[in-house]
Amino acid sequence: MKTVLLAPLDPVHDNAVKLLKRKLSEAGYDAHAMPPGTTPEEVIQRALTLKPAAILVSRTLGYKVAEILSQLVDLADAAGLRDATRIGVGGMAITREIGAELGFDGCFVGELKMNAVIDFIEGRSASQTARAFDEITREKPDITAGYTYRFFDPKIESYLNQITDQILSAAAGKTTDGIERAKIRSEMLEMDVATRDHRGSPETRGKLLARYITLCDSEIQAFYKDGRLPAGVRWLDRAEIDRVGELFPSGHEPFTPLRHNRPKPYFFSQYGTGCPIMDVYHIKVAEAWGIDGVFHFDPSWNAQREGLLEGYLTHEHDGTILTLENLSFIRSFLEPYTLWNVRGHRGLNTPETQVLGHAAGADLFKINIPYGSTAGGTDPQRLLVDGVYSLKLAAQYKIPFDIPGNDELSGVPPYKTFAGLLIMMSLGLRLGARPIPKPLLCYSPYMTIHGRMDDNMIDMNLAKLAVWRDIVDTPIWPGEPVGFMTHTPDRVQSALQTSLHASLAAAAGVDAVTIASSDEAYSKGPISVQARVDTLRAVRDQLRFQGSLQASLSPAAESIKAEIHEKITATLAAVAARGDFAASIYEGLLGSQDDGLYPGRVGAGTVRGE
Amino acid sequence: MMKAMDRVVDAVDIETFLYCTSEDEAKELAEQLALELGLPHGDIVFLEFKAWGARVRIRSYIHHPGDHYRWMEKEHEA
Amino acid sequence: MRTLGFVGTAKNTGKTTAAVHVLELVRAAGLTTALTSIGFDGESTDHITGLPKPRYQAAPGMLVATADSLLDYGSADFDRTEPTGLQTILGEIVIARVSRPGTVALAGPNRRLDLRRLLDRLAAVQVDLTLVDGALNRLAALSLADGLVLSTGAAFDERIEVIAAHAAAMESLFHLPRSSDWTENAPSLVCLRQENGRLIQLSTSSVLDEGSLSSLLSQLTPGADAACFIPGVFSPTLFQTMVQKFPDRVAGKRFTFTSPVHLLASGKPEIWQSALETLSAAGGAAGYQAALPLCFLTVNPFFPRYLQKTGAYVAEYVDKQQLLHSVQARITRTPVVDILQPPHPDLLALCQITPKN
Repeated sequence: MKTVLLAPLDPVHDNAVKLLKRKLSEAGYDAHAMPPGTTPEEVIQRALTLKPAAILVSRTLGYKVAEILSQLVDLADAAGLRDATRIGVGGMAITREIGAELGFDGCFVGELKMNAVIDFIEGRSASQTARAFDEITREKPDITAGYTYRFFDPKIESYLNQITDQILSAAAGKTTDGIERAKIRSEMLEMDVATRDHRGSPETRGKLLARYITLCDSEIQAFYKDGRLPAGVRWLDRAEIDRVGELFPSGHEPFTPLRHNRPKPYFFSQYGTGCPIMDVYHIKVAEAWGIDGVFHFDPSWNAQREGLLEGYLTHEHDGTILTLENLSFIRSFLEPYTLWNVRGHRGLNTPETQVLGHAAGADLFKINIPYGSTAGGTDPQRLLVDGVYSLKLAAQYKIPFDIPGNDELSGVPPYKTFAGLLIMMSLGLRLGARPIPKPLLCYSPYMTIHGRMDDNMIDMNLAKLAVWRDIVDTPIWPGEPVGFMTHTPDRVQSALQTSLHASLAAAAGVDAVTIASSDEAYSKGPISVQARVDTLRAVRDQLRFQGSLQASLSPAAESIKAEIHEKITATLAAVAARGDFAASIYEGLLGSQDDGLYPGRVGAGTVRGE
Repeated sequence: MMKAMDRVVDAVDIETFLYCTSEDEAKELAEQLALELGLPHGDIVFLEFKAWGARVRIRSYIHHPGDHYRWMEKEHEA
Repeated sequence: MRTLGFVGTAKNTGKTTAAVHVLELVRAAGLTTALTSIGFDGESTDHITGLPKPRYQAAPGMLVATADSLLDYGSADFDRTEPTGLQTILGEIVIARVSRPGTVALAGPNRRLDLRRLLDRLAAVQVDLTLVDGALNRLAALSLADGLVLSTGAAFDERIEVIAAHAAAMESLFHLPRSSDWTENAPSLVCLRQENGRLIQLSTSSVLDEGSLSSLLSQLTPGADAACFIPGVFSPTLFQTMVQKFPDRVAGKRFTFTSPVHLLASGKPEIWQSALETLSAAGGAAGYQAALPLCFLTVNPFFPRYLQKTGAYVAEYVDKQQLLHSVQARITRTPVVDILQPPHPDLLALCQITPKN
């Protein structure tokens, strides 16, 4: 058993020393702590008796403290202790440079990391530690692991089976330009001609591209034929792309999750600044501050035009242009354990997005036919056919897909949205994919108009999460982001609301949570990188505050849960009875014009026979 | 000579509290403050006036997504 | 190979300025030089005060022993680097040869054992002179040097009389004789050799608390001569207590310390100075196992003043003439110079460095 001597070298504070003593004792070390107010001479004399493997000093750097710390090191050297004893220092304001200047063998900067302390005691050098860390990289989590997707409510299961049959028969034998483009993209990938700097045959690319172009809108055609870029878009040049690699070399900070003492939930945030380089910066910052996964958001016009662009492209608008090059570029900078979701749930390029996302290494997709077919989205008929094809791809690629429930933002009541999520789940499961429903925790128009959150925001949100546990054994991922419509441009208020919602979801035992930045409600410019850090910090502290506390439902929440469950059943019964899923959407069974929801029109009349 | 401003990744936020007697005055002052500090296109992200003054956050984007970012330039590395 | 160590009584006392000046002289003298530090030196501004700091300028052909992560830190280029296997917080120490002149950042071996290994390697590659930049309160490793240059000044204390008294006390410790009682292979624990040749060994290398002082005192027989060896450190306060309270026990005892820096590392030189005088008056004596010459002493009128209102430091100065003359008046056996107030005596000669050209 190795001996470690711990010294505060501080007149009053020794919390860090007490904590270290406990943790080192738990780790099997013979840890001795000296009391506050101990002098360097006393520490060295004790060390001469104990002959420890290491002396660890904790001290906040301040006036004349450097002198005390260096005196300790010098005494140790002059006393002949340093041949066998390593001396380390940690504390506020201590940096590696100061540690080196004062002559310490090791230096612990920032939060206490026990693995670093133990490596130091064991005499493993910093570079060895880094290598050891690389070898035991954090494994990428699988959100769906352990879930059976068994339905607990047979009535709901039965309606869902009927609706799924209707959808599959409606999609059978149908195709769209979107599906055909996805097939061509797949072929291009197989033939190694999917990018501008491809290494395959130029003739093959020429032929495939020619077919692809015929299936595109005129603006996309102009790009491929004449090299004309859409307004505001520019190429990233090679120097810019190469420079990012120098700015973010491989190797990483040890991952420090936002979670305090629970294995879940995993935390996600979206990016999509418009520029892949800025995205990389935002993602790296989010990773460093503890994010588990990120979403790629593309520009809204990507969803409204037939066909996708190619190459390294940037622009000064929201959403980063979805090309294989952009996706691969961004993916290459993510840590190996960071989850990556490429959304493609609502536009004319939904199938093709799954193909490119998979090619670039996506871990998750995002597909929701009812949501994507409403509120300025895609025509329901079109998205039904494209969505079914996309779910088949998700199953084929073995990539789980999540189903956002953001139609609530338009005013749809939760039970209608949840009915839509359940339909997507059932459809995905039938096609062999692994779904993750995303009930939205929000202060939606439905809540304000009907006064459903007048007293508090906890009962309704807890009920919205708990109802799932009564229906099906599934992972739950509140999003997108949590606290939607509670945020204001005040960063303190915004970060607080995010952290409250995130921690409520954590206490309800969910599997993942999507959080916003504190710029969520600021609409006059892009999200700033500091705004991302705001909410990550807030969530971390909130989770620390509540630890493993579990939420239980109040009588009011239980009653809301029962009401939602009942109304989901009724909604699914109505959709099943209607016998035509697209018609159900057109007719508002999953969200009506009274609710504030209108069926999408983009791509109407584009479904054809195979 | 490297300018610290060039190292701002995207936006500079200035948070402060202004002595003023109305929300309108607070807005004027906030905009004026951005000008006095030499911040380009200062925008009021948030402003809350209550009786004795205003809490305000002013933002100026130093680098917009899609720009050529000066923090990427090599000569800025020490 | 000669090794010259540079130490300061506090940060900002002019240690680096002195070293940079000597480096300039050595370059002109045509010697193959190596440069290292037992701390960290490399910023152009002090990381506590934010005030400008002098930087080491390395000339082509010079060797620099520093942490590998710092090779890109300065403006000098290197054409050959050799790993040493010695680790620091900032990475492995490498010996790098300067190919293009410029500033260098230094973080070398931080303990005596590693400095010895590095010096052995440098000697093996025909280096004539190694300059070792010291660090705040860090003297122990420099016991391996052949000579020291000590810097003090207003950054240590703004009162000139305090600076002078402190410097004089430090300087006085370099003049104890070399002891003939203990050979090179001295024990690693506190030892007492009685007149009859009997050797008594304590269980510690150092005397830093009452307990170890009691153990030592119990072995000091009044009226009997004996030779005592302290391989580690001895608290000067405890030493003073011993000589003041037990003059009969220390009478006839010859205390051998490892080197002057072991005394300086142990505590305040003023207490040592006074305790050693008391020892001498009581009929005891003190000396070193290995002498270490103090080549010269530098004084620096600069000090950083902290402004509470702005939280910033500003550069201030005491009267430079008065500082130099006051310290010179107190120290007669070692030359005292202000590097920025020439003319100076032949500093290389004081360091026993012979020019090659």
